[in-house]
Amino acid sequence: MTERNFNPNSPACGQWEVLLADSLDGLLKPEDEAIFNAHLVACPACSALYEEARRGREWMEFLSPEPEVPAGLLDKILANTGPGHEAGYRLATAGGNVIPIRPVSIPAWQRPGLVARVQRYAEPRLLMTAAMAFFSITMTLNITGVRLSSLRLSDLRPSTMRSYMERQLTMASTPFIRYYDNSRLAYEVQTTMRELRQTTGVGEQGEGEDNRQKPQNLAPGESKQIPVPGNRGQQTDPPQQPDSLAAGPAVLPAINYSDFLETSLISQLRPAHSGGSRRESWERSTVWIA
Amino acid sequence: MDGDSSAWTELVRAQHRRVYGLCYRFTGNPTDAEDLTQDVFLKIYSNLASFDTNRGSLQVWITTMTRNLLVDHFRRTKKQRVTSSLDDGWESAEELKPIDRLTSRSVSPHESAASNELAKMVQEALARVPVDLREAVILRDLQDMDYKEIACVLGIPEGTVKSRISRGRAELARLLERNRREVM
Repeated sequence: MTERNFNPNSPACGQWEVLLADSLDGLLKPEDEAIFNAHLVACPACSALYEEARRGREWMEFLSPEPEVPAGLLDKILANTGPGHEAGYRLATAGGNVIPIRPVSIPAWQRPGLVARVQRYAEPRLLMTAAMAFFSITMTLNITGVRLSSLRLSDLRPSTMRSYMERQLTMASTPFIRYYDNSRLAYEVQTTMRELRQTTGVGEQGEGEDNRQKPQNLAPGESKQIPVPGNRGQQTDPPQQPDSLAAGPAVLPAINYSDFLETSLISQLRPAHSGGSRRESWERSTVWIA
Repeated sequence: MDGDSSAWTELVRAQHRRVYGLCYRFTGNPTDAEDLTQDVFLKIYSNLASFDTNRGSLQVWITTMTRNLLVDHFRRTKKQRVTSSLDDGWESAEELKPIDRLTSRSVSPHESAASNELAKMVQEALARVPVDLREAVILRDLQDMDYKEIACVLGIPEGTVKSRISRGRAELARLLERNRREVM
């Protein structure tokens, strides 16, 4: 016998397959008999299917005797169902009266089939999905600052939720606004100093090399001690300069006062991360204090 | 049948063999068949009010409920089910090959026992037939239902019922033939 799977490859085969059951069961109509036999002879695949189906039908005859019913099955069924089932819940009294008792409702977790139902949904795929959903919800609640323990019914009102969200958004945007304002102040100071520089005309001469030596890390508050223009050379002698910082005065006379003011203000905005060395910072402070 | 204990008892008495046979042929397991039969009658009893004589006979209604429970059970136990090999059954029938026994129809001293063995093998092979083909074959060849009733139970067109019956029978024969060749 050839090993194959039957796949109707033409409408004729499909139509013939429907007639096959009728033919094997002896229900084929006379008008269909000619068509059925003609196709059976012409199509090898359908001919093989006919043989297999015929043998399969014969095999099924071995199962025609009804299987033996287990002893007590009928009693079990009747004990669990029917009006007699409710009779089991009646209470006979001494006087011959029967007090009907309402059947005890079985809790959901004790009903038959619950375990199987749970097992059906306890697939790893579904459990993983549920776990991911749980973690997502938990993370979202944590990020938004919602605490389930302190949640009340009044918190779920739309107006309350809206005000809460607005508060959260305000708190989140405050640092950004503050940063923007600080940056704005810095630019404004820079612009003002540039204008001052242009007005006084000091910056037009001899600051080519000096400007490259701008202090990078001045301490806040130094801008109060602005030297008088034209006398800057006199202010470059610190009274007590440490030996290790002896090179400082050689550089300082060439520094423009407006540069000091400008960089000093910037360093206020960038407190400890400007990258300048401590030593330089100290030098500039020394100059201004003197 | 409301409150009529004798009518219900009569119904159970008349139908429980057929329901059990259907469950047993479908599952191939006597324990599962017994449990499922009880479940079927529980379901029937709790849904007696929904039975409508205009929509079909009582037998078709009971068969439909049985079939639905069987399909539920099949899906539920799909991963747990272990299909046993047919080899054991074939090896136990050593005297005469089943196909030869079927074709020759000879009478032997142990015909009854051999017939039981063959029935066991066919039952095991039937359990390996795809479920949609299996239920159609069982309803037709073992429950003697006509195509229209089967179409009503399965909820498919009559032509599809016939097609599934033919394919199911052919598949059963193929499974048994394949196993016979492996044994030989």
